Amino acid sequence: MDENTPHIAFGCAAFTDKKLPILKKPEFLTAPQIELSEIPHLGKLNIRCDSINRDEVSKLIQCNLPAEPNYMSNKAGRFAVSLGPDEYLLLAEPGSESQLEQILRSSHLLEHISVVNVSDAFCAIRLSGIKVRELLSKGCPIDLHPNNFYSNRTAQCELALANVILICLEDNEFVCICRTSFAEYVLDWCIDAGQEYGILISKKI
Amino acid sequence: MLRIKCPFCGYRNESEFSCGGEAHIARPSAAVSDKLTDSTFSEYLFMRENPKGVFLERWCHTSGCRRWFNVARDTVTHQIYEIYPAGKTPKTTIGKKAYQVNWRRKSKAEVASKYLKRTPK
Repeated sequence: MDENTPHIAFGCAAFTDKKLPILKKPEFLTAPQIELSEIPHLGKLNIRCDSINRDEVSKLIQCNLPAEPNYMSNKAGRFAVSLGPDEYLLLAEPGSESQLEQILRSSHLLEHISVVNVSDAFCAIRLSGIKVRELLSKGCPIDLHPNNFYSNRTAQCELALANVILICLEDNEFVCICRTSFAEYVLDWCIDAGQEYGILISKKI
Repeated sequence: MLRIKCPFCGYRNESEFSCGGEAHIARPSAAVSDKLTDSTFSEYLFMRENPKGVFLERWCHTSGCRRWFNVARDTVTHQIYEIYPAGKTPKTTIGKKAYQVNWRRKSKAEVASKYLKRTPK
């Protein structure tokens, strides 16, 4: 690929193969209580850097890398999720990831950090609605109570035995980042588990 | 189900972790490894402790942060006495004792691991 053309991440195959919207709900409900959609073309960068370089990297990507584990920080539509003591996942607006990658690669820090574009390796699913926590609790062993898992909290965990990164945006709004190859499985599981609450899978919320 | 406290992610279910077997197995230094007998090298390569009691093991938080750490666990009661970073020795009395009584501390393979590494010319 030409270096100057910005890389646009592909959409997720699980969503393009299915005829959307899909609505599953019991008859007594008038409206679905969970809505699910993909966040298409979201830029994802895996950044590894020590705490010494954290501030400098934060300046370059214009988003603070979180110092605390299991938290995320956001600034102007960019989200930085902490994945480990020296590992972060940067979620950036579609199309900007290749530019960000270039900025980091051309900086003097490159000897000490690692940047990998994982936009196509992962797929972001947005879940919202009043029953979202109930749905996720069915397949996720971690404590999702609002007192424990609130806005800006993240967790790398298992969702129905698939490895996912869960991000809490707001009280009833979550982003689930899973491997693209697992997206179809996660989607099917969500449809199955969310049937009793009423679930609507659409292209965009 | 054990609840293991990952040093990074906090308490998580055992199903998210994978056990990496005995900790503190030192590879014989390259300077002497070609002079070691097969039986000595097999102490490093094959022989593993299987105690009834406190055992020092390596664990990895596979479904989470994917980081390795060491755990002092009782193989009978499953009680976890200590969780400490990989590459470090235990700090608690129980952990220290388990470290010292292990036959490996006196094995020829471990003694050979303490030789200085060959300096590159």
